[in-house]
Amino acid sequence: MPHFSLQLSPQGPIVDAGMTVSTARQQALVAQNLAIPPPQIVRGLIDTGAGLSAVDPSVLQALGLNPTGEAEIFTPTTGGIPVKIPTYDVCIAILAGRTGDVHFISDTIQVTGASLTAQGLGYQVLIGRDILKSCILYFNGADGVFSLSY
Amino acid sequence: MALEKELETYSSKLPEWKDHVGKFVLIHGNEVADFFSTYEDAIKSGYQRFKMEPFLVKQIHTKEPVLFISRCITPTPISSL
Repeated sequence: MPHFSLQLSPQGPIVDAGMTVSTARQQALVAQNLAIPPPQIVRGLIDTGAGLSAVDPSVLQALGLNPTGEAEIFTPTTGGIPVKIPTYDVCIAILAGRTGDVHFISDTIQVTGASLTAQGLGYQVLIGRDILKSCILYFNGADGVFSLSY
Repeated sequence: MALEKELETYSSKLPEWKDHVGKFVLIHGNEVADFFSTYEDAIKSGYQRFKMEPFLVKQIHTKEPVLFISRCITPTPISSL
């Protein structure tokens, strides 16, 4: 399996990622002579506690997305009950290793919006178990590294 | 609210879809366009058929699953920026 290894950051397993509109949306935009929003380079935290990947709304807005779904989400901030929230289809590519290396491209994944930038944590995306379900994540805290095979 | 009409259509039709549980339905307004085995295929068909008009892709469940995010974040749609 292809894989990459990175040093753990103080925030945990952080990766750089490129995010664009999904391939299907790109084709629809081209067919209507509409501009394709430029890719957004973001930092993502690999989060095994997230059942669905989440993206800061500023990134979703920069991609000009409209919702194409809905999910029920429960977080510590939702007052003890799940809330219904729109979801969006995006393409994500994890950038790791040498400059220009692209790993793990998924051209259509479902994500939700969550305010991450406002917390000043230094990442704009939570890479959740919906993406990790097709990967092997190896967390080596003793050596301060993690690896992702996909 | 985004996709309000499509979500109403989903709720009203759900009792008829026992044979489609687990599949992804594509809805445009009041129209149930089709069912798909994967999210990717449903999204692709949605853009091919309805271009940039609103459409809903939703996996069919008799009981809506709740997705947990253990981090202390606030779910935020684009419109609330």
